[in-house]
Amino acid sequence: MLCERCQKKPATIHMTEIVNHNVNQDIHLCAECAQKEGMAAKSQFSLAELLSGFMEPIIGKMVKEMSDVKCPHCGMSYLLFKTKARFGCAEDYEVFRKGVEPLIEKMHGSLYHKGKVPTKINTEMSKERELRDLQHQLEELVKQEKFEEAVKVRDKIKALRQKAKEPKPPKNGKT
Amino acid sequence: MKIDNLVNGVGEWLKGDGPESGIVISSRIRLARNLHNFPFLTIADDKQREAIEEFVRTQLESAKLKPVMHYLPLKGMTALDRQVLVERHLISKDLAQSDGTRGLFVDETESLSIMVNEEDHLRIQSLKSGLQLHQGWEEINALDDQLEKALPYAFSAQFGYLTACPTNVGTGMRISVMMHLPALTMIKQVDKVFHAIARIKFMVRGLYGEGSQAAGEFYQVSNQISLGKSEKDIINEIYNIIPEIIKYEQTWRKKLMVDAHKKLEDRIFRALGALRYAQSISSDEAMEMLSAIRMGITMDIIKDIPLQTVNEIFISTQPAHLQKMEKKTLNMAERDIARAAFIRKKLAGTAS
Repeated sequence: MLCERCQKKPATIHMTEIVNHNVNQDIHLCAECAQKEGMAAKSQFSLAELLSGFMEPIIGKMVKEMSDVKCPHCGMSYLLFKTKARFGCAEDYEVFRKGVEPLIEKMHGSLYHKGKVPTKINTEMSKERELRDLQHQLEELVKQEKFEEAVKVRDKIKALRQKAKEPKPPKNGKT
Repeated sequence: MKIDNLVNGVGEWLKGDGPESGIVISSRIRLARNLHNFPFLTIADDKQREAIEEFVRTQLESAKLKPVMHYLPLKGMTALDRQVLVERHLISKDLAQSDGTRGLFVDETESLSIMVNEEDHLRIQSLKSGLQLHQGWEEINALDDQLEKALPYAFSAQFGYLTACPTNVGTGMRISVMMHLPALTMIKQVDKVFHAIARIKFMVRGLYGEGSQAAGEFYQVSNQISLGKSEKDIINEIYNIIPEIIKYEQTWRKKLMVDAHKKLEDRIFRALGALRYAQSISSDEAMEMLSAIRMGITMDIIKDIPLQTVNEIFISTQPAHLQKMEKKTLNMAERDIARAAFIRKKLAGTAS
């Protein structure tokens, strides 16, 4: 097959251009013409560059505001996150939250996990939920001036809080 | 577990006995998981990578996982052996080609595996024959349950499982259903399917995943969204799409049988003839011929070749597998000859 542009040299670069999920026509060029068209470089895009490009219009405006933000745990800066399109550690999600949420929402159409929860964390989360429910109950009882019952609920909350305060195992290996 | 023994057989997912295995080759589920007490691979240096691998390896070895998982360290493994694992869909190209301490846990049947130190600390995979996502989910979920007891997962109540790349956050789940769509490819209807799929936030890629062209009429359908939906919801969505594509492919196959019966038979039997007698064959040509034969088998035009044989040839005629079987390095020309010989042997004794 000859190059579509110069019609002289054999086509060695074959590309299918996809714009917004629409497959445009296949393009067949020789190396020289492809370089002229800037396609040789285009075809060597890395995934990180591609993602970074996707992120630019969404969080480009954030950069000024977030340019000084650096994760105290792993040392990753927001700017580096933007180029690499990858987080440096689990804490980055919290540290970069403001500059990350618009991105996640654009990617997934949501900001909230609805899937599986690890059992260990599940118990902690349900404890929190129980505490919230009891608190609500307590307020209701006080409103209704049922003080005797309110005291019982208050003691329950106290006991639960005490339990939650028990020390957690220390984290290891962090740099 | 030794790579040398691995190449003599195929993983269970290639047996061709799963539901809808005429059109659906395999169902893959991948879960991305990270540890909260180590930096992510994005920035981990050699020492930290080593520490992560050692921690994961010792924790999992003492966890007595079920099914039993064998550990294969990739550092120090030859490039050829690593390529064998890529060809068997057990590790990614990236894991094979990167440097540093990394490894693979894999069970005897190659249905479950865990990559250590890929883009995320852990990449858990379930691979099943045909359309078996529910079964696959049960198995990978049970393995994940065991892992979370042994390893401190990075998890946030809001964002779910925290991953290196924000595109995987939430469930950390990516499903890939590999489909064989020769009729839709022949009549150029595949684009239509792709567009429909893209509209509902799923995507289609070629046989070997990211960045590859759809080779030989094989395609992978995957979910793009991993956050905001439960694992079951994502699986159910895929279950709503796949049967539609299967129906579409089957309708066109039937139509081809009526409108172009002789042409279709001609293509299939020419492919069979070529593979039975070729003395040298490139992997592209082999892929194209095998695709035709596969269609012939599932349309009952070829009756005496089991689907498993074709599936097996797909994997066994890849470059690294050929060289392992021949027990020496082969250049491209030599591989084409070895490939043709292997296929002739596999298809011998079957006459139509």
